[in-house]
Formats: sequence, structure tokens, C-alpha cells
Amino acid sequence: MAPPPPQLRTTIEKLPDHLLSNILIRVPARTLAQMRSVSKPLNALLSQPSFIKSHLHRSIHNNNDEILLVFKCLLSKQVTANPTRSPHLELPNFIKLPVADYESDDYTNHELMGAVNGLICHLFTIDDEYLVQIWNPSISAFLQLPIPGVTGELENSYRFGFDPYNDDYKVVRLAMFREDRVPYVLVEVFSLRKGCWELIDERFPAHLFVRFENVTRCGDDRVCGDGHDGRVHWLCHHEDDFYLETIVAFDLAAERMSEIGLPVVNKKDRRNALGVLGGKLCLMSCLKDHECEVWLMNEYGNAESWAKHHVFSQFSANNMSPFGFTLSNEFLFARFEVLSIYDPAAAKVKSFMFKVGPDAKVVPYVDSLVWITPDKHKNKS
Amino acid sequence: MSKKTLTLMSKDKQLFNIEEHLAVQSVTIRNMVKEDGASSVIPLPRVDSETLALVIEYLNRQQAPEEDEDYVKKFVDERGEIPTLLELAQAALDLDIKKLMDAACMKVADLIKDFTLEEVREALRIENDRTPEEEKAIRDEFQWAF
Repeated sequence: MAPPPPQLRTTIEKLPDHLLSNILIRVPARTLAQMRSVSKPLNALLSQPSFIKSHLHRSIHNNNDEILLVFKCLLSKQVTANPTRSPHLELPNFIKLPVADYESDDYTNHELMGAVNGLICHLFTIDDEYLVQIWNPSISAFLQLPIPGVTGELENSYRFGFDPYNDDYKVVRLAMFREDRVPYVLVEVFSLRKGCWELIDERFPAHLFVRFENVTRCGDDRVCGDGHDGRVHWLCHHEDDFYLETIVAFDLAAERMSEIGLPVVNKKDRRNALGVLGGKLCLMSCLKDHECEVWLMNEYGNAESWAKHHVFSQFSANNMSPFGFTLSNEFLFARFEVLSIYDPAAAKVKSFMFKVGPDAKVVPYVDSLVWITPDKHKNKS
Repeated sequence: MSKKTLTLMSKDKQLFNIEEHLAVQSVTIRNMVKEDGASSVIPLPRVDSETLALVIEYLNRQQAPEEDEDYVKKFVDERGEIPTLLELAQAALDLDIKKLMDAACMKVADLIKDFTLEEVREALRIENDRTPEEEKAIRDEFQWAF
């Protein structure tokens, strides 16, 4: 083969972008954030939405070494647990809550509202004022949301999710008011793209009540997984019958509410919670003195498609409380307050060496570059 | 029936024989065989002979399926030099050999993740077009990541 012309020999033969992106989607988000300084074309490649999506897709689906972020644990503050490596809590060196002043303070002021695609939405209460933040722990970036337009509410309930239709992340807020003793709920949506809250016309079904005592639970389950497919959910009860429950779904793209019936009629002896299993909405229903059933909705929105997926008969529902499912479909629950994980494939339970409180939350850690260029990054102020 | 053999030709015109049923682990070769029977020589104008020899060695492996994962990891580990790995990854991409491509790219990613910016530039053959001022500006903007 003829040697290349001399003027080409001195320049470096560039690697094709296709090869570069195949390598770089395998590099952790934080390292990639630093690599933005390497060169302008590389910065452009790393900022492409398609690259960020491929990177995310890979970290969700090739997550062999799953890390769980455990919040409101009894012993410590924010911690990580690693099912494959160690039953002990690990103090993370990569996750640091973005509000410095509150790290040392009482943790009751911190609530998780949801997590999707590596972004975590959480809330701090400071002197009766809510601070809502969207936070990406992989790249230590966070965005503080503006104060909602409607204030003076009695209760709030928040959900956080991804709207694939508009490629947007949204926070949905139900704000409950009371006028002449008649309660009503207003719905406000924050769009990350628009950067503001908007009150929407859609009303929350008037005959249903959100359990506001669970105001901040994400998706009612405690493993934040709701909101990944463009919808967020609330488990609600009927106005005239506290034990008659139904699901209210909010479509993030259409900004519409709908109701989905449950497969089991709730009586006083059942405790229900929503979760996500393998990308599908699931209902964890625990019977007093009996087992815990897991129902899966096979066809979204069709209440006829609920199917009993699994029955955890080995644990009495009295001393266990279901959390939900991890990204690798393992069942997380607390038994006598000890966080445990059940692998249905191996039919094995593994208990972590620590206790969790009744309001503990678990977020599967997803390494993510999503929103690598936050509009504003406030340093701890 | 005797096993059918294919001949692959590298960028530097070296010829390599490989049994067809092994060669079609490459989706690219499989498609070529399907299209025209690939009776003669298959030219691979982007793959040099050293890299092609490695690819052939990989395709010829005699591994039980359950050991395959470990084998491919070890295979790329033993070729831990970044330039070799890049050639191998590029060839695996072109030839569409998924496991080899995954492993080679993963190995490069593992190696570069602890590199300094200058080392990353050298490894990935990227020219520095940033002035020191620009580099500092990015560093300041993204100081949370450093």
C-alpha cells in the first residue's frame, strides 16, 4: 500500500465518532463531565441528546453491580447498599446531598418525591417553606425549582416523572384547598424544559382522596420507580369509603388524569401499595396475618389485565412491609425493620445488616448524564 | 459434507482462511455470505493483518457457551494496549461481532476513566483545541465534577 502523503502523516488519524461513542457510553458520568475539557468536538459529542440517551440506556440495562441509595435509614443519613457485594451499609463517597446546611441537621426535613433516569426529585422543608430540587447525584448537579404559583394550600402531594413524548422531566403537584369545608385539589406542573410551574385545567377526580398523610411517598411504593414511562400514579380512596381504593394516573404528555381500578377489593385487612416491576405497574397487597400478593398490570390502563404475579407466603404480612422492586426485579422489603432483598430467580432472601425506619426510601442508583448542562448550578449558598 | 471455508483479506492484502460456520459469528460476514454466497475472497479494507489475526483467533475459540463471557474478557485483557484495543474494537464494530466489541470498548473505557485530560487526548487521538483559559473556564463552570 502506498504511504500516506507527507502532510497527512503528521496529523493524528482521528477515531471515528461511532467508535468513540461506543467507548464513552461505558465511562462513568462524572468522568465524562470532566472530559468535556478534552476538546470542542468531544464536548459536542458528549452533549448530544442521543449520546446522553445511549449512555443512560446502557447504565440502566447493564447494571450488574446494582447500588441502592437508602434514604432515611435509622442509623445514618444518606447511605448506599450493594446487594451483590456487601450486606453492610456503605457510606457513599459519590452522593452528597446538595443542600449543605441541612446535611448536619435533622433529616426529617428531607423527602424524596421520585426518581427517574438518574434524576432524583426531593424536597426540603425550611421554616414552612418548601424547596423542591431536581438532583443528579452522578454529576453532582441540581436545579432548584421556583416557588409554585398557587400557595396557601393545606396539603401537597408531589410526583416526578419523564415525559418521553416531549423529552421532558416534569414535577406534578397536587395542592389541596378547602373552601366552606369543601375540599378541592388544584394540579400544577413544573416542566424542566419550560423552567416554570403551570396551573393546568385538569382537575383531580372530585370523588377521590389522595392519602395526604403519605404526602411525599413516591408512587406510594418506597423504591422510587414510578414515572419512568410518561405517567405518574396515586393510590387514592373513595370519598365515602376509605377502604375502597383506586389508582389515579396522570399522563405527563397529555396532562390528563384517569382512573384505573384495582384487582382486589380492599378491606380493612389489606394494606396496598403501588410499585413498578419490570417496567409495569404493580400492586403489592398485604393481607393481615397472611401473605403478601404482587399483582402486575400487563396491559397499561386496562384493569382487566391485572394478574397475580407472585405470592410471598413465606413472610407474614404482620412483620413485613413491602418496598418495591429493584431494576433487576428483586423484591425489597423490610422485615422487623431490617431491609431485605428477595431474588425470585434464586428464591433466596438476603438481609442487610441495618434497620430502616417506616419512612425510609430506596432509589436504585442510575449513572446518568441527563441534564449535563443545568440552566443554573447554584453552589451551596 | 466437508466444512466450507472462507478467505478474508486484510487491508495489507494478507489472506486468512476460516471455516464459514465460525466466520458468520460476524453479522457483516453473515450478510455477505447470504447475499452472494461469498465464493471468493472477502476484502476487509479497514482491518490490518495484525488485528484480523486477533479477530480470527477469537472467532476460532472453542469455548463452552457458559465460559464464553469469561473467555472474551480474558481475551481483551491480554491485549491491554490501547492502540491494539482500539483497532480490535473498530474491527469488531465493522464486522458486527457484538461480544468482542462490547469487551474491547469496555476495556478501553476502564483504562481511560482514571486518565488525566492529556492522557485521554493521547489515548483517543484527540487534538487539544482548548486554550488554557478555555480549559479553566470549563473547569470553573463544572467545578462540581472535578
